[in-house]
Amino acid sequence: MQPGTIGNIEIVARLANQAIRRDAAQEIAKACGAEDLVVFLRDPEVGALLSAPGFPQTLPDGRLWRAFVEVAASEGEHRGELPLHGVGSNLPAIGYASGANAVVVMLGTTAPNENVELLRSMMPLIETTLRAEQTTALADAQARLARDASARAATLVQALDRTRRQLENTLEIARLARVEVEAANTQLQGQALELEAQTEELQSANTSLEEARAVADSANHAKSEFLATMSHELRTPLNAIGGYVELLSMGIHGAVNDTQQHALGRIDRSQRHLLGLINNVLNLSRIEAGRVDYDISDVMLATAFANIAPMIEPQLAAKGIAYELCDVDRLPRVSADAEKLQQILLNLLSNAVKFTDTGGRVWVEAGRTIEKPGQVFVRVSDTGRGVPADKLESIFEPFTQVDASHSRTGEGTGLGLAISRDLARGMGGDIRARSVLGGGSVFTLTLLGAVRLARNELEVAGPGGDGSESPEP
Amino acid sequence: MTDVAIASTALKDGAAGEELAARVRSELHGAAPDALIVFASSQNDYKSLLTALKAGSGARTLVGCSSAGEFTGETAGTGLTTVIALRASDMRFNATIAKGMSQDREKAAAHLARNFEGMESTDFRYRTALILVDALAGHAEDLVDRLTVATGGMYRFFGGGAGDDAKFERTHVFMNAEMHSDAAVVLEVLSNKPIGIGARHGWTPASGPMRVTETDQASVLSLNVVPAVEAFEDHAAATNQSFDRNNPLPFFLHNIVGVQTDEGHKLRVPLGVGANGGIACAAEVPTGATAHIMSIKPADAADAAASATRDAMEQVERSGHTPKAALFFDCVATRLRLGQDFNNELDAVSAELKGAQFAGFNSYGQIVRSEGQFSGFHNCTAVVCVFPD
Repeated sequence: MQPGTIGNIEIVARLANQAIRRDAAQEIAKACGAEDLVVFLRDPEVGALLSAPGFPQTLPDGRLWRAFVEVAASEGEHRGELPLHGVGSNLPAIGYASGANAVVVMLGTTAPNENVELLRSMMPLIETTLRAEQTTALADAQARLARDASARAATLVQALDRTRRQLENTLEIARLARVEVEAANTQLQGQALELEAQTEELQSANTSLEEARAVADSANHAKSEFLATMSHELRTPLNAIGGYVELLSMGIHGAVNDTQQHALGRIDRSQRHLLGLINNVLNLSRIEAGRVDYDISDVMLATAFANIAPMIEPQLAAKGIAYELCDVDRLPRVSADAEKLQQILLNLLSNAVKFTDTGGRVWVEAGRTIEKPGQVFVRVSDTGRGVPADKLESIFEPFTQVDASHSRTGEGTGLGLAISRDLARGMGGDIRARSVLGGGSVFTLTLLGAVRLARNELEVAGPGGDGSESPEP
Repeated sequence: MTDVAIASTALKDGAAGEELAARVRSELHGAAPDALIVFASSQNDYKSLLTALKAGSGARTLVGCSSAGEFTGETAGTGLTTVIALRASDMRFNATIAKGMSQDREKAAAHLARNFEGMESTDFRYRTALILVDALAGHAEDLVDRLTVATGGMYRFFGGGAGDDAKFERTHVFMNAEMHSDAAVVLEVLSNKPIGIGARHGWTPASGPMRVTETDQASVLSLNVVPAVEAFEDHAAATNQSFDRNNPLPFFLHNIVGVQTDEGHKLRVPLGVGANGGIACAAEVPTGATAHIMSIKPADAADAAASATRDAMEQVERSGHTPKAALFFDCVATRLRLGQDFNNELDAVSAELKGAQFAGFNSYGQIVRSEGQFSGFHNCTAVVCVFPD
């Protein structure tokens, strides 16, 4: 290319090719009467005018260049001097702007020839071309990034596949676990249904039992009513029999010989026994029918024992049995019906005498229980024949005796202990027994203590006076 | 259950190794650690140090690197050797090394990934790796990127570049009793409890955006076609700071390069001025990138470290676990800039750890790649890793 001969398209074409841009720029500069030229485009992101690709990207004394091109951009044309790498001194420079965003700096001349006007006229096209290149470069960079990203994505996809396989394995393990849980759940549901059915059966059975119990209660009540009525009706003729026997024995109706007197005696004993039996049946039936009233008050045990002494002492004396009663002054008071308390104590002592052989021993201890401070116990012990362990509970059942021979001899009805325990329970207490076959028995009556204690009741009373109390009387 | 022993000594060479090994065994009640991590000043003869440390401690695995400042919750300074020993019943540790990272990062990354035990194992829920690199070999960012790809994003990375007491001459990484340059060591940590990782820097743009118009490896030759040093001089003038081309470090410690990315600014520490007006940086700056000159307020470094620690702690605590110990890495430039005030940063980290012990070192670049990120090599960034009990 000769100076003055460049054409429009040739200028653009040569500058558009980045590979030859530097050389082309210098040729164009020479065609314009200069030594070199640099094209600047404004970078939209950082806002500065930057030399286009293919031109030096690091300009010496950059501040000078920056100020120069900015003035050129604002004024359209600007003259001065600028340094360039490889050139010893600053070169004359003329900056031509194409708007505010593109500047061409012509170096090495103060008076370029007429070709520079052609170059200036081409500047919008040059700017467009370089902008297109800038866009293309950006697109290339994006494409490179996309290729890199694609390569990374391919690797990541492989990793994701690996992770997916691991996840599938984990899910399979979870699925199998879920199946096991569901099976267990089904089994549990079956068991729950079975349990529900059993519960319904139990409820039904319970209802039947409740009904049966109500029927039994009703029948028992009727029985008790019947027994109470019948006992009352039986006592009337029996009392009449007794009265007439007594009259006959007294000879009111004529003399009675020894044989007749003996017979009357037997009638009288039989009548008394039968009357006692009926009285006991009456008492028991009244208790069971709930027709017993309790006159509860503070009762002194000492008084109760004193009252029954005349009835028990002849029995003791008859069998030569030693009797020991604890220190009466220290016997506690109890909250009880005095008459029924005496009935219980008499029964317990009578039993003790009855089942103790001649020369034996019966003794009584009493005091407040340790476990239940509001409770009083009376313990009747003997050295009698004792009760087998398997009979200890049944002796409290009506009509039950350990040794049936006593019934045959008319010495017991089998109702005494049952009545005594019912009476004790009716007063808030109880009777328990413990025994060793052939080693004596211990019957313990518990009752509620009197509301107010006397000072001398604070200690346990016993035959030995040692104040001790067995933890389980 | 994680047992931890942390120790530091000013002794050197084999004596340091013996001293630290004895303290580790003592703190672990005679047991040998599963993993022993060591950060050693370049004042040491590494070979004798590592041999004594490995033999004395009985550690199954030893990794570490040379450093440019060493610290624990109790001590901080230079010329020290610091170790943290881990013994955990429910974690698995596995160390591996890749050499020749300046030649072929893809190959190095593939080698490391192949040796990761967690790549195929489903026994552990969390996969984490401590990466220590010879930063002066360059290309650390590329290695971390490629390792991210090679592991399919399954791992979270943290770590740093080895140092040499701010001499910037030669750095080493350690694998058992051997030291290596142009290499990276990785301690793979597999666990079913979360390991917390946090990273923050307090730097903000102090200049307008500039185009990185020419670079030569880790040197920025020009910004906006102006020699890079002029851009820094102009910034110094605009912000009333003094800048001496012959002694630029004081300025560089407070004014660094921030490369704009979609994930925020990636920091690059300037190290010196070239004869051509270029600025040599601690890591690569890509040509064509948009960059700012960044600055930081004195208290912001401590705040950033505290925030990073909180992030890491939260990851451990939100699942109901108790932090046991931590590793903390920050840039050597941060220590040089802050001087004694670097202790404030350590205090801030210690306060956030709620009693958990920590150890760490001043590094030449920091590594952190956690969820949602791709590349992970940074400068001037506080990196915290919290191990659960």
